[in-house]
Amino acid sequence: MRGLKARWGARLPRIAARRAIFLTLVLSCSAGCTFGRLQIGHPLDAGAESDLYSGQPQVEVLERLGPPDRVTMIWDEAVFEYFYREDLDRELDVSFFQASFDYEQIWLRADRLVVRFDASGQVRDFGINLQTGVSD
Amino acid sequence: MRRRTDTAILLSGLLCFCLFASGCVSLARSEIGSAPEAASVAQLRKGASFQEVVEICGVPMETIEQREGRLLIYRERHYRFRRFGFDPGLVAGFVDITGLLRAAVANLKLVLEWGRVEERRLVVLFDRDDRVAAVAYRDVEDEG
Repeated sequence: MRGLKARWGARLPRIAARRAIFLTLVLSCSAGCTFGRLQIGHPLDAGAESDLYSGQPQVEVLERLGPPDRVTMIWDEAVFEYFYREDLDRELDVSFFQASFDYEQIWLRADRLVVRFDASGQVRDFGINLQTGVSD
Repeated sequence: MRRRTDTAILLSGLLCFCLFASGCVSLARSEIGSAPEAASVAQLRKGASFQEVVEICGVPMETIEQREGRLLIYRERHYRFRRFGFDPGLVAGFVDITGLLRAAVANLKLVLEWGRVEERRLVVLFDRDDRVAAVAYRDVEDEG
């Protein structure tokens, strides 16, 4: 028992020191960093496109896809737009007195599904574009 | 060896203290617009009149006139934002007269930000006789 205590008593400060150095290194590596994420809307149902067809009534589209994010009228024709957007931002900002270095990366990705109706309220055409990898 | 270990722990502890004792936390939440709750929407039935819809759901944010029937749109936008910033340079500024320490640790900043915008949304489609033909609803907690 005494031998075990003596052995661990000698090792514990060394382990603690290693952890402390590791933590310091991790914190130092995060110097001047900003990580940001903005999500707008709900991820789309990527399989929804297969349920759409030309001539489909507006009622069915609403029941299948839910309320659109945006409705616009082009002449007499309605356009339903469903979208999900993700903005990712990473920034590195390092400075020493008057000298500074700034590096920023921004990714704007969007999933969009657009359904265009004719004047009689039936699907004329539609299209989907998936970029975020979140919609499934 | 022991003294070096103690010094490493002490410095790391000081750094951790500086990191967590200084910085900022920002929380923001806003709601714009108005859309009815799910319980109200459940009362809507196909064939209901425009008047009944307005009595149950209130005045819509937007009305779109189509040849085949109008669309009533209700929107309530929820915006949530969180920001956590750690900046040990702020603490260093109190104890360092020369400014050297502050300049050295000024780069040890870490900022984490999250934002989310969701909508509670209701779209009511009427037919040519101005009767409800379809109701589409999405709440803010809904997935996918």
